[in-house]
Formats: sequence, C-alpha cells, structure tokens
Amino acid sequence: METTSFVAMSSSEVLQRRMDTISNNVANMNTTGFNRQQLLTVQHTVQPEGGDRPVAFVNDLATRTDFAQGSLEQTGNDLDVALQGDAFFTVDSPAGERYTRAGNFRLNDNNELVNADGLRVLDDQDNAIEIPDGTTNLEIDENGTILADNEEVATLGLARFADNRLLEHVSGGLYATDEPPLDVGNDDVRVQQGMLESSNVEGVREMSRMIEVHRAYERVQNVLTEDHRRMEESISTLAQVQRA
Amino acid sequence: MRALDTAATGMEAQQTNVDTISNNIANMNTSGYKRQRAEFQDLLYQNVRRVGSTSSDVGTVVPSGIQLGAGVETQAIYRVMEQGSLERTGNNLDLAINGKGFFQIEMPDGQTAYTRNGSFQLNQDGEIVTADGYTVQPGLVVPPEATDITINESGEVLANIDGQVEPVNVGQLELANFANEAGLEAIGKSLFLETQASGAPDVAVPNAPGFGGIQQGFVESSNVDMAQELTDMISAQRAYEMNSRVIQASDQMMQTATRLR
Repeated sequence: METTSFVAMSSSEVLQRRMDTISNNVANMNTTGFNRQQLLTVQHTVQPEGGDRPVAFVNDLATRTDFAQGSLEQTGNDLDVALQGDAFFTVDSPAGERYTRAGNFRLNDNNELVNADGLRVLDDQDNAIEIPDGTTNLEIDENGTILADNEEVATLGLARFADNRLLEHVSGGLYATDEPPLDVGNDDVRVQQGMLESSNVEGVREMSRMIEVHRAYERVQNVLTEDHRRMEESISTLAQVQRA
Repeated sequence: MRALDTAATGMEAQQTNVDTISNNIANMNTSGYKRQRAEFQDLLYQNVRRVGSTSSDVGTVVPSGIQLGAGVETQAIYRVMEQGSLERTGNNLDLAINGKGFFQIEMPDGQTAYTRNGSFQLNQDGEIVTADGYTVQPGLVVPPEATDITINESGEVLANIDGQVEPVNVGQLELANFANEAGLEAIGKSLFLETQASGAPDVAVPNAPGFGGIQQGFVESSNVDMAQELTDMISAQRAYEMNSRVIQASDQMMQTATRLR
C-alpha cells in the first residue's frame, strides 16, 4: 500500500540530485574550460507482491559531462591557449597525468610552463616544457608548437580519448582516467594562442531546467501529501464502527 | 541538499570577479597600472557512483558514474602584463618603458621595489625620485645649474650645463626583468616586490636584448580595456543573479519538503 509513497520518494531524491547538478553548473558559469554536467535518469521497474501491474521507480543512472565546445574569449595573454575541437591539454600532477581544457598557463620560477595551480604542462614526449630565459617573443601555433624567439622549443601534448564518458572530474578543472590517451589528428583540432575557452554552461537553459525541477518537486510532494491523506481518511473511515 | 551551498560559492566567486573588475576600472587612468583578471576553478566532486564501477555480478561496467560537484572557487587573480600605450606628456622627467622591464626604486626601509610608472621628479637635492619621494636606483643627482635633462633610449641621463657645449653624463638608468612577471607582489603606489614565484631580477641596461627602451616625455597608460571590463562585469552580474535564483529555488524546494504532512 505504501508503493505510491516510495515511488514519489524515489522521484524527489533524484530531483534533489538533479538540482545539485544544475546548481554546480550555474556556480561554474564563468569558470574557464568548464564542461556542464547533466543527470541521466532511468526507470527501475518492479513487480510488487500482490499487485497486478509493474511499478516504475526513478533511478539516477549517471552524470553525463557535455563536452560541447565553449566560446573562445580573447585575453591578449601570450600564455593563454584555447582548444578548438575534441582534445585536452596534458598536465602532470602528483597522482599521475591529468587532462584539462582550461588553457590559462603561466611560467613558474624555473621557467617551466605550468597551469594556474602550478602543475606542469607536458609536451608530446611527456616532458615538462621549459621556456628559455630572456625570451621576448613567444608564439604558439595552431598545432601547439611553441616558438620562443622563432626557435622551436616543444609541442604541447594534446590527448584525445575514444570514449569521453570515462573521464572523471577532478577538482581544478582536471579530468582523470586510466584509459591511455590517443594521438590527436591535426585536421579538426586547433590551438589558439591569446584566447581562453569559456564554460559551455548556457544560463537560460539551466534556469529553465531549474524551474522544471522545482515544479516537478512540488508535484511529487503533492502526490506524497495526497497519498498520506488518503491513508489517513481510509483508516478513520473504514475503522468507524457503526452502532447498530 | 547541497545546491544551496554550491550556489553560495557561485555568488562568492562572482563577487570576487566584480571586485577585481571594479579595481581595474578605478585604475583606468593610473600610469603603469596592469589590469588583473580573476580565474575560477571547480571544487571537488563527490562520487555517488564511481566511473567504471561494475553495476552487476556479470561485470557490466557503468559507463559514467554519478559525480556531484560542490561549486566553484577562485583559482588565481593574476596580472596581465601587456604593454600599455604610450602617452606623450612633454615632461622631461616622465619616462615610459617600451617593452619589458621595470624601474628599480629604493624604498625607505632599504628594500628594492619595481615599477612601470615612470613619472619622476627632482627632489630638493636634485636627485631623481618618484612622485612619493623614493629614490630611483642607482640614485642619480642632476647638478643644480643644469638647464635641460636628456634621457636617451638606453637610459643614459645627460644634463646640459649653461656655457658648456658637451652635456654632462649624470649616470645610467637600469631596468630589471623577471622570469615570471605575474608573480610579483603588488604593494600599492604602482610598486611591486620580488617574490619566490617571480624569480630573481635580471638587471641590464635598457635596449639590451630582452629589455625595453626608455622613452623620455611619455608615460605608459594602464592596459585596462574599458569595453572588455564592462562586458566582463555584465556577465559577472548575470551569473550572480542566476546563482541567487538557484538559492531561491532550492530554498523553496526545502520549504515544500518541510510542509509535508
């Protein structure tokens, strides 16, 4: 008899998680290289005992990261790079190689190219990239080759994966995976110097999804309230003893 | 429900963004000012279900797990060390650096500070000082009977004395370069201090390879781009508003749950 309540509760729990995901997207609206997430839900069908029809509960399946290209914003900084196309920069962290779309790089005091957290950016041979001292003109071409005063220093290590769904979010705009990175073909991937990729969160879409979630939550709570009232009424009505 | 906290981090981050933009706009007309830019990063993720974990005994792998984010934090506020445009003032002690390098200034406590702001003056002893009275290293004194001061692109300071054909060489200005200019610590008054992140200064004569030249009679304007700052401010404001709507919506959702009977 409580099936209605349980189904409604499964829905409200999933709706809360969906709200959390939307909220994280909106909070990261101005984060460089951020990719929005989406909560996928699926129905979980169960045949209740003594019931004649199967009942479908709501289950959240996965958060899917949307790797759509974010818009490119010009910053004018020589060390800022943005990627056009399906590829990632490679950085070296204490826990292993990590991948990122955020190209706001700097030089540390050893003249090595690092990301904003100080993690070294790796080149295509998996080595750190050192810019010679006293370089006045730093150019990064569309293939990721770094030229310091017109002399080739290194090429940025770009990675591509067969299945982007296996990438796991790690804080700091990084992705981690055990999958080996594949080589990036040169046709559809371009590195743009002096630009940064904005997040691909669309404010208006997230707002409308948020309103949908909110209203769905209210409807579900109504179902729970009505179900509770039905049980209350049936107990009080059916249990009344008629005086003969 | 963490949506409330997540949206709160979003609002905080946008507040920092607006504060940075506001500082840039306030310093639009400051000589030698370098604009700042706030960068954000997402916070840690909670793995409600891990990526790649098995979903049944048979070993079917979950293609992508459930990862809930916790919001955003400010990653860094760094300076964009782009060259500002040179503005002619005609003042013979106004110097602008065209290229890389900083003037070295001796602070009252003996430390060396670095600046791009070259609006210099003479103090009562004829020494070349900044507008705050700090000595410009290496401490050049112009003779009181000098009629005119010429500073060439290589930083040589020459004074013309009445009655003498040859100008007197008062001294040589030097510039300091850093491996990582963005790592310098700003202490206000257009001054920067060396830090571990910036690296040790590399001192040389202006117009040496890798160093800029000195232009007398010019000042370097700030590198603040008004249109860019206003656009950034609008997007920061919109993001702030949207985060506040998320807070309102999650608050109402929790209210609805509380009113359940």
